[in-house]
Amino acid sequence: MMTDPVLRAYFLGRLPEEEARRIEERVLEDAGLFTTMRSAENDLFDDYARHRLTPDEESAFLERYRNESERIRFARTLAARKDNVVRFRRRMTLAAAAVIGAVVLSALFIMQPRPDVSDVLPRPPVSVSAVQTLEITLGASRSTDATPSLALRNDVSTLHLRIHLDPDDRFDNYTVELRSAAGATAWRAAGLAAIMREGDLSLSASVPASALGNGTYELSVHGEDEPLGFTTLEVRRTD
Amino acid sequence: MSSESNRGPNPDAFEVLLRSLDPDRELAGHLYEELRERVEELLRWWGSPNSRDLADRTLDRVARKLSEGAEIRPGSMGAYVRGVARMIFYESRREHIEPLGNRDLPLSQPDESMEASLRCLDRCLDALPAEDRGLLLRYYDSGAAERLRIAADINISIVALRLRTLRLRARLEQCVTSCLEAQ
Repeated sequence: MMTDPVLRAYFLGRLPEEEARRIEERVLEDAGLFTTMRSAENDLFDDYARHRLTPDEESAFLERYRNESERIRFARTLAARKDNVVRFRRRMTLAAAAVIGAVVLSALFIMQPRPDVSDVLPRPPVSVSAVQTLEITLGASRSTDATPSLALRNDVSTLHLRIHLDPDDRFDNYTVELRSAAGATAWRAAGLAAIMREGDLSLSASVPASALGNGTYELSVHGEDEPLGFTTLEVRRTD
Repeated sequence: MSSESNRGPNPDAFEVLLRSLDPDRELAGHLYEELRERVEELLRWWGSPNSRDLADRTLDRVARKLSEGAEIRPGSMGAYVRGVARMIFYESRREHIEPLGNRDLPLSQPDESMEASLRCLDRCLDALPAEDRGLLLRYYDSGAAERLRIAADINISIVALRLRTLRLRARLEQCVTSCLEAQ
């Protein structure tokens, strides 16, 4: 069985001569090995383009392949495309998740039993009903063109944001920001820490409801300096 | 260019080589093409800039030796061909030293060049059937475990999946190169 590390060592010129010779003899007669080796070589180019090689490997790679400029350029283009797609997906999934969160919240709000005016029992303390939660899950759904809408009750004092992140997006601290359509910062929290629980990476933040009037906002999430996604959010204050 | 290459393949010797690959001439022709492709790739792995030409010269010499009575033990064709290829490779290095400097790729690629490459890549991806495009992107964005899952999903072996994606990648790379040259 020829493993990927052995083949990688072959391509980087790190196998003992005798072992390399045996592989070369075998590959001339073994169609499966030939395919596997070409595939492993492409993976090596991709790993170089995606900066996944150790400094020693990178130097061995360049010594061997620096003349294969077309292949290197192609691998770099594939890598750059992947980066672009990941950023695009993050934006779109954040937008989609915001829609879902808003819809769920609106539905919960509508389904909530209305207080009966003839009810003699005292009203619950304000603090119980003062928090509304907006749940956002990155990576949970596909794109949508709809602008999410949040019905924010006037008796709510705090909007609790819970943002589920891509588990690969681990940073020491995060920044979440809400900007108005005019570009003014309505609310911002920096230095937030994410929590990993059972494979789910999530961020929590509390937004004072007073910071949000009727209007459109842009919600953005950064992991340190890297933008992880943003979406527009239509806020509608309701009684 | 060596005298061997100028002379071209000896038809009789070529027939001997084909017979040594398989008694069925049609199948032998197919096996010859496969062998030639592998020898060419092997020479490229060794760093030959003209691996196609050297692969032809290798198989011409193997054919000539067989027609002159050389015997290859069963199961030793790979070792024999590899030995001849190695000799041809060393000879070619004595004949001609390829200047490397003007073939080097700058270690960083200018942004505008990358933008053009990305535009071409997107155009070429759009030209692929949706199923092939999806498979190619999923495969090359995956690790080993996910690739096994892909193979299972479409009910083919991992080697068959590698072969399919290799062909798609080669097609895509060729398309991107042509697109960039046309700009």
